[in-house]
Amino acid sequence: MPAVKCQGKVIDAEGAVIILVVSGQDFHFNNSYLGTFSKTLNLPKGKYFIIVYCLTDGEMLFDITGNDISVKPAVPGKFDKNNKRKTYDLIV
Amino acid sequence: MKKVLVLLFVLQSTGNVVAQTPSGYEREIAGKKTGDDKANFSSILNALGKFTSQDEATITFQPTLYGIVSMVDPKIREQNNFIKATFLRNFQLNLGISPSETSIFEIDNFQSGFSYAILNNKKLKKKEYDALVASDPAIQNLGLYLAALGEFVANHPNTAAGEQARLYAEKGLSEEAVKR
Repeated sequence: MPAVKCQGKVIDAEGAVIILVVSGQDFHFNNSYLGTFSKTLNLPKGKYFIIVYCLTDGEMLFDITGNDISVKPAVPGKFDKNNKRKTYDLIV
Repeated sequence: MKKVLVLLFVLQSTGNVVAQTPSGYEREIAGKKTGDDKANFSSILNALGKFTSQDEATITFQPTLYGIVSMVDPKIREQNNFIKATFLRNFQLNLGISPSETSIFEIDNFQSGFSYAILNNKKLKKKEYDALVASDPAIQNLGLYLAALGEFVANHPNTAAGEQARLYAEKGLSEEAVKR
């Protein structure tokens, strides 16, 4: 199963809670983090829906990396207090 | 005679009304006599730490540096700053004044010193704080809500219901959407 890494780098923030949700046909993952995080998931081939919710008073750069993957909209994406929630379509 | 009496009555009434109307200065003072001022005074006393007179002759202040700094910079009370300010919270000043027996305006004795708390089991470690934030019920509920939306979207591709769930996941539930 291909490894896909989701990373959030918090910049210039006193605190940031991040909720990461990755959902596929037979795969469901969700977790909350405080500050910068990195999570590697071994995902079976298929389509995934990703929700990232960053409750921050600063900024966070979010990126998804892995071999032979396609992500829409393009990553890395930037989160701030005016853009807290984003969704991505991932094909592995 | 009647006219004079009426005139006197009118003048007396006008004088009473003027006397009872608070002046600008009085209004300003009255505005300051609020619970907020008492709260402010109380917070200053709290910031100064213990204020004791154990032997009824000595006045002792035992403020921590954190308490003093918090009076000048209230931002330090924010949770993250509170955790970082360990040194300020553990450093306590001990100041004592013994007023003269003959006059409270004269001082017989003054003592000063400091103490530092080496052991402090009340201190919340960063890791524990992280776990506390992550276990916040509001965040847990939000995580469960988003997870349910994500699962629904993944299991209902290319359907109207799936697209609606996707919209909720992207924009959140507006008040109008909840009412519908």
